[in-house]
Amino acid sequence: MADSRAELLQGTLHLLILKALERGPLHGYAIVRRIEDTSDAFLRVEEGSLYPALHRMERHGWIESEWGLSESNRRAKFYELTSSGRRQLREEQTLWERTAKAIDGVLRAQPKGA
Amino acid sequence: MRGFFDSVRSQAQIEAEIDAELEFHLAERARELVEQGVNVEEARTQAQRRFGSLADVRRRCRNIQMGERIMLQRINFVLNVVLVVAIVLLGWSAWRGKRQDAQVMAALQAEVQKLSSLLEPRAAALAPPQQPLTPDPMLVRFGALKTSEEATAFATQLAALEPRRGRDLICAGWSAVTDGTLRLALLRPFVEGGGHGEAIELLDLAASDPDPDVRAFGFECLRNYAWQDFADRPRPIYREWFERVRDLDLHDALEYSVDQYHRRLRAAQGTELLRELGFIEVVDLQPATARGFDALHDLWWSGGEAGNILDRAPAWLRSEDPELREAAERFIAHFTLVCDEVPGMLREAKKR
Repeated sequence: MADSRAELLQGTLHLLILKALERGPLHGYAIVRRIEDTSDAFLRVEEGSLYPALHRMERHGWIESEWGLSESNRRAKFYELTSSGRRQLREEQTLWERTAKAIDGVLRAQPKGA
Repeated sequence: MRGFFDSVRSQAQIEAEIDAELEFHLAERARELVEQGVNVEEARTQAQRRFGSLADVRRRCRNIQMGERIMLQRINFVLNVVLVVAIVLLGWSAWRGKRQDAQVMAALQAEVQKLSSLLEPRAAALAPPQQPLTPDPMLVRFGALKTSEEATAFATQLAALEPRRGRDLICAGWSAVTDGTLRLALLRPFVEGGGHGEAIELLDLAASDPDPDVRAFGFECLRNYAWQDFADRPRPIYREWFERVRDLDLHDALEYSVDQYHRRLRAAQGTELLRELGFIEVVDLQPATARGFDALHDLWWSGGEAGNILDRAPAWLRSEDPELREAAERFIAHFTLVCDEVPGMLREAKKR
């Protein structure tokens, strides 16, 4: 039986990370939890892909990081959106909405002659 | 400026940070599994299995962080090889040309010098930065503080530095100061006289301090900041609110704000809800590290910064303190109707 949880679609990880950080700084583990919780545990983040993605996004200047204390009082690296990251989020979100709408249109199209 | 500091971080520092970050992730996942009843060893194994190849992730992160540096090192290496080969060739030519006249030798030497002068500045610019070998002298001073007066004088110096630098130093040196009275003295220059721009982060640090006096001071200042924040908000709604509550005692003021809050939530419909939720962000408390029932209780009744508190609620639900767990459940139930994260949290609460 197929796993009812969905792996993230190619290319959506950046968008989901940016969205997760929209409400404030989070460390990597909290980003995973935020994505899983807000998707009702449907989306499953590949944890091994998360950190390279975060570091790449930091290089792009979309996020910046700072060491701080976690809820469990441990030292953790917190990521925060930059203004460039907010712009990127808006762009990626718009693109995603257009893509989803287009795919939906294709799926709803009736076969010719039907 | 940040890019500059990144560039001078040594390879060892970068690798240590990556390791610490990945280790934190695994420890958090394992902690969560232990709280669900998995034994410690199995929790660690499961956390690692879920994470995948740690070595692979570490290598990928390192390549991203070090990519530019590795490229510069390679260019540097190639330039050095070219220089050595050129010198060897010219030397060899010179040896063969012993019988040639002095004019040719001079031309060759000039050529070597010219080549060196062209390559040396570039090689120097591309050389890996030198590793700092000594710890930051400012950080060393934290461990040497003996009296409150010394601590306050030192913190006054820090408060006068570039804002983030002072704050970062205090955060980094905080645990080296073992006496709570001295930690308290370190805070004062940052919160007195209207407060330093970076004081909130330090108060968060104080609010999670093991010393009850430091904790109480942190919470008290955070509350004062919250009240002040109301007064400074530009939107009329905040000013109206502030005018209304400024002369009430704290209890009456909170009751009034809870009542206002409920009224607005009842009025909110559909997409309006998110906009209306802006109202509760007026209290700029940052309970990022706040622990303890009293703090939660105050924040809960203030109706302030609910999203911020909700972010922390799952951690409180897993607290070992039953009173705190109960308070967190009540808090989440209070916001059941207004926040899309709540169903997930309630599920988590029920599982526990």
